[in-house]
Amino acid sequence: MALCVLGIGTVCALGSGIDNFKLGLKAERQPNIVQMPVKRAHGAFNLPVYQALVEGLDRFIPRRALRRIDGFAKMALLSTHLAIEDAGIEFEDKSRVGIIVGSGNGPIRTTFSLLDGIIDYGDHCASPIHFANSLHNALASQISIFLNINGPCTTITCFNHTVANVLLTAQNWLNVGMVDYIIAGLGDEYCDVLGYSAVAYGAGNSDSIQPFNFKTCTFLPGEGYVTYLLTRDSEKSMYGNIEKININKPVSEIEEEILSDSEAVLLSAKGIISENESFEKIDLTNKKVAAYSPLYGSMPVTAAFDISTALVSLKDKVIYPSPQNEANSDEGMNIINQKIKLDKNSSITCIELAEKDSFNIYVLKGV
Amino acid sequence: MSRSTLEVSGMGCICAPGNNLNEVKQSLYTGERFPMPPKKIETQLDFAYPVFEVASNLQDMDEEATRTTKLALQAVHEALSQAALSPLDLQKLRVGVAIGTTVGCTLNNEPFYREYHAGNNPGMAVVDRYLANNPAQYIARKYHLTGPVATVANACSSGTDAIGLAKSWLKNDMCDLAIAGGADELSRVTYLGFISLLISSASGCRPFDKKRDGLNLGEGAGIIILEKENRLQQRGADSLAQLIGYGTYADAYHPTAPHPEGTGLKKAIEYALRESDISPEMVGFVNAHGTSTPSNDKVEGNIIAEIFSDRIPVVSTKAYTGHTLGAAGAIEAVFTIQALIDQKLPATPGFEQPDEECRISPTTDILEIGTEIGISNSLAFGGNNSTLLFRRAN
Repeated sequence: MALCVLGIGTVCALGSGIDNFKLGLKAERQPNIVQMPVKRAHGAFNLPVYQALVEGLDRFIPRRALRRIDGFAKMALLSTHLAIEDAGIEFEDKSRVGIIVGSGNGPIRTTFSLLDGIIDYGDHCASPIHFANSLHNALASQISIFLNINGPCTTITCFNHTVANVLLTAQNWLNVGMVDYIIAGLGDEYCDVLGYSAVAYGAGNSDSIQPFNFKTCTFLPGEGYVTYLLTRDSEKSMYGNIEKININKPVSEIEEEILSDSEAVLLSAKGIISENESFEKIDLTNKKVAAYSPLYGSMPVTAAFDISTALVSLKDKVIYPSPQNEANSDEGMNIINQKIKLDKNSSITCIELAEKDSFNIYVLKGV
Repeated sequence: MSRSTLEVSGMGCICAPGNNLNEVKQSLYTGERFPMPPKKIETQLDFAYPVFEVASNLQDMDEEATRTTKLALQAVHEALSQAALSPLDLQKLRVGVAIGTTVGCTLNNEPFYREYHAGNNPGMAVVDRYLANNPAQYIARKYHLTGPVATVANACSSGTDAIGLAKSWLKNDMCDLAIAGGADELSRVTYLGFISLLISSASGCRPFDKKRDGLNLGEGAGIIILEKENRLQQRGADSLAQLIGYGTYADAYHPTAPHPEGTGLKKAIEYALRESDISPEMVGFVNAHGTSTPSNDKVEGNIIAEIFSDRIPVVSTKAYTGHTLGAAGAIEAVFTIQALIDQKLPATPGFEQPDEECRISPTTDILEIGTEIGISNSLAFGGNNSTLLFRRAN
């Protein structure tokens, strides 16, 4: 069963809302890249980080009601509201709406805030608010509470398996009739410790992510949250449908997936050297290929933003040029460097690394 | 969508009462329990709130695994052994792994962070370990499995929801067999967190008792092997029970308190009953979430009495295991199945004085049951409510 995408809500370094996201794809808006100080043994230096611009939540929720809500939950709430607004629908029966949240690292900033309190003030000063908000399902809970949605609600956290599992769970819930709509949200937030770790793993060697420069580590951390409002009726989509979700495909089985008459392949390559070693093994000769991580940064759920890019492309009937398309690539790939027009029923394939040399593949089709 | 029934072919369990299901059963049926001040956790607090720790230090397990992952692996190993499945058998099948956890997916290693917080430069070994130890991924990698892999983080209902997720994979033919359950280790951070919420009991917990004053934390893992009936028949293996229903609904009420009317729990139970075409009268017992907190037990007891009856047999096995968080629902699913096999429920230690506000009273002695069907409830922070419904194997 295809997943029909009714609305999308993006919150990332390109700003809040699908219009800002689209401006980024058109290269009419630059991502908000902030120099974040990172301390290392050899001294402090600045790491470029794709910082999410969380703007306009007070259009939906009064500021006063958000006093105890942390930054990541605000991102999730804004993204959810934007997706519902984008779809332009109101739910008649909120118990028929499911919430599925996926995150690689969860509310990591609040996790460390909880530890800060314990370290600075002692064991008796653990903050109950930080503790409750540090649980991975705090986002789903806040979405459920603020929007009064009392259907099934779940949170999945599985690094590079997260995006696929959120979408598969959505498919299953719709398929068995548990719900009529799904609010599927995927996000990750940046924190100092992640920056520190990122540098240890090689981030900051480059000022920009070069997704097709497979030989060099160029990743830069990002943060953001994207929500899809999904249903099962494929006729209703504004954007297109997620037709297939294939998980854990070895390199040898990818060719046929890509060849399934997709107009383009979007690689969730994000400059991570250990991932590049696997991406390199896919034969992409003569394929039209793009990678948009230079617009939103590296995070475990980058593929969710790539799927948004594909959906916007299908809606607009055009694939926008891949950013950083002039970066070093000698892989014989046809990197998309100018707009490509799409037909009504065009399809785009997104490829994400799942495990070493195996991939999650998403096939999206226009309507 | 598959109409084949889903069979449980193996179970594994490790928690404070024992390192395997047989040991755990013995403790449960003798009514023994040992809440004690934590041995692996030191604090600056004036008082040591009792916990239920697993005695084993799991020395023989993978060195690179975290304690949560080791607990999960121990239970997986036992469950596969009972199901008569070898690692090689698994590699010939599409096997999914769904594991619920709370601590096991969180980067909150205190020594690492204390170093960082002090302005030092801690090494990356802890982060490497965190990245390698997502419980479901670890199991999938260890056994070279290629089916769906998901770690479910729904706080205290994680284990139940992981089993529910695996059920949906099998029903939608996404895998041939699933390893499903939950695992969690005791951690200083959750220990202090629960104390900060003022819901930790200073003594052994007393589920549904009038004088209950909070929970005791625990640790452990519970795993079940789920497969379709036709596959089980093909390989000539036995079924322990059938998983016939799963329901999950949110309260949409409060981050840490259940809805006072139990709206989400009621819907979850009703959905599971409807899905399995079972009437409330056919259900023989409830393995309650029964945390021993004032609010949980009151809400849950009322919903059990309303849907079933105030006389239906109820047990809270947290009185033996403590609250094992992400593992709790899975451990209790194992106990529910075991009760159907043994046709008896253990007593609920700590319960002495009924609370009229709860409307139900849990078991006080071992109770013989003549029933085919039992349910297991989980209520979680964030307002998650989930229920599993099991039928005794034919």
